[in-house]
Parts: sequence; C-alpha cells; structure tokens
Amino acid sequence: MTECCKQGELRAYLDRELPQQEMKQIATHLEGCPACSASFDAIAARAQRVSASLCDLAAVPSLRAAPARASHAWRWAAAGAVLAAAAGLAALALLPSHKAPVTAVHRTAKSAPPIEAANAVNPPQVERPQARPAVHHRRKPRPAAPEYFMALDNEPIDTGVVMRVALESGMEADVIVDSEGHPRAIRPVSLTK
Amino acid sequence: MRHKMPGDVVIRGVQPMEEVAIGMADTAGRFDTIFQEHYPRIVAMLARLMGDRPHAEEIAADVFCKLSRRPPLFGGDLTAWIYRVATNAGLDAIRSNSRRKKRESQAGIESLRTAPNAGALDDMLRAERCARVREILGTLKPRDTQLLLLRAEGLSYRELAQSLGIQPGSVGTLLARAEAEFERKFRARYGDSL
Repeated sequence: MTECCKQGELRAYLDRELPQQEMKQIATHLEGCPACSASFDAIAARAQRVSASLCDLAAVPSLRAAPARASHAWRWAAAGAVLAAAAGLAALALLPSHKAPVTAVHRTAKSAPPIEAANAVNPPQVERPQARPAVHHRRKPRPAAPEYFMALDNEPIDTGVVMRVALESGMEADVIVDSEGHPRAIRPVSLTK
Repeated sequence: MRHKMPGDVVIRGVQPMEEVAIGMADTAGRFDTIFQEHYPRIVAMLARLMGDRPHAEEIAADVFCKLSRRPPLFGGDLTAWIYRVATNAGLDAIRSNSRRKKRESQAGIESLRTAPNAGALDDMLRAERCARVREILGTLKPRDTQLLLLRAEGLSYRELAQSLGIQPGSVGTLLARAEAEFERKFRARYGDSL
C-alpha cells in the first residue's frame, strides 16, 4: 500500500477487523510512514481511553449499597478443576474464609459481567474483554491473559462478585465470592499481567 | 411497486421483498430469531448506558413487545430498527431520570458518612465519573452512542454493522468518529482528559 491510510482503516486495523491481506499491507505501510504511524498511535490511544471510560460503566451498574451483582451461568471446564488441583495454590489457605489476612486492594473489583443466554455456550469467562487489545505493529505481542478462573469446588456458581485481594505473600489474586460470601474460584493476578 | 392503503392513500416506494414478508406469515418465526439473538445484547447495552439493569430489561422488553404487536410496515432493516428504538428509549431514560442522579449522589454521600474509608471515596468518585460519561453519551448522536456501547460489549464489526444496518466496511470509520466526538465533548464539558 503506497497511499496513506484512512482513519477508519486504521481503527479497523487496531481491532484486527480487516482481511488478512489488508492487515499486512497496512502494517507494511505503517513501518515506512511516520504520519500514518503517528495517526495510528493517536487513534489507538484514544480508543483505549474511550474504552476505559465505558468499561467503568459496567463496573458500577448502579450506586447502591450492595456490591455489583451479576447473574452468571458458570460452566466450569474440567480443565479448570485440573488446573486448580495441579497448581495446588497455597492461596487456598490464604482466602478470607480461612482467616488469613487478606486486604482488598481494589474497591473497583469488577463484577463478573453477565453472560447472556446467547453466550452461555462459551467457556467460563469472567471478564469479557471490553475492547480487543490494541495491536501495535512494532510492539511484541503480549501473551494472552488467561481468562480462566480455577474453581475451588465442583459446584456451579450462579451469582458472584470478583474481588481483587492481596495475599500475605504479596501476591494479588482475583477471587470470585458467591452470594453467601464463600470464595469459589481464584485467579492469580500475575498471570493476567 | 404500489401499496393501496385505507382511504386510497397511495404510497410509492420500493420495498425489498424480504421486508414486505414481515407483515405476512413469516413474522412469528423471524421475531423469535431476532429476539433470541439480540435481546441479551440490547439489555447489556442499555444496562451499561443506564446503570440500572432491571430498568434496562424493562425497556428492552417493551421494545420487543411493540415489535411483536405491531411489526413496522416499512421497508428497512428490522434488526437495526430495534436497536435504534432501544437506544433512543435508553437515552430518553437517562436524560429524563433526574431522580436517579439525586439518588446516586445521595448514595455517594451516605457511603462516605457510614463507611468513612478510602474505598467509599473511590466509590463516590467513580460514580461521579460514570455520571459524566453517561451525560456525554446522552449528548452524542444516538448512532454514535449505540456504537460505543455495543463495541464495549465486545461485538465484532460484523455484529456492529448489523445492529446499525450498515456495511461492516464502514464500522471502522464510524467508530473512529464516534470516539473522537466522545472525547471532544468530554473535554469541552469537563476540561480534563478522559
């Protein structure tokens, strides 16, 4: 591609919503065109900011005293259970119900967004990505964040909130706490970074 | 193509055959398909816009109810029609519902009074921020608001195009414009960065 890219093309490129050949052409063009490259950076940064603003809306469904709650049809893949067993996280012993010192570090703990009927067949996914990660042609791709929580038992979870907690070891983790206050699943935060 | 209407009013216009069929036998089946695919998305979109899921469900149900009782007899995209009506209803709700704002602000103050910790302050600030974002969404073109909300729900460009009744190839352009407009209005109104 020799001519410069349109804004819309760059926006779609950011979301990887172009045919593969066009993706390649734009990537090549961006390498050699500082103007388009700057334009792309601006579009990507703005998309990120706007996406973050709109994400906040889902994190606080409404300001009532109760924590954000979302009904969620959980389907735990066997893999989740296996992982939980394999990892054998000492974290289990550090969870709130075991009286370990756990500090909430983020009151912003995102509630698990509801998975709608249409998506119920998807694997368990607690935080649906609000926007696709920005793809930058010059940066190395980051490893995909695992979307799986490790179930702490074999029971299905109907409703729950995700809480970010700091464990005694200094490690952070997201814990799904069900409506009765029991921790039901955990995901170490370090894995998601 | 001419349609005879009561009172001998004649409407001239081309209607795609597919849409003409809506008024006929196919209505029920088509309605079911649309409902199953789009109701959850519309509820999610409205819940994000309004910050009130029960109310969002109410509005979405209302839109589908309208559709089932009296399918619109115009040529055009039924799916896009539903999204447009739902978005407009949601926007009306957030613009007119000043009670909600009052309640939010009171809840914020209340949480500061009863739980004076750092978290309560964070909560209040975040609620304030959400109120600002919603206010700006209320001032955008409904189409832009719809696009931003549905994108935030993780819809693909193909799905976004369907909800707007446009070609997938136009989504990038519209999305980039909507984001620029959102940011411009936010800065103009609140002076700070997003």
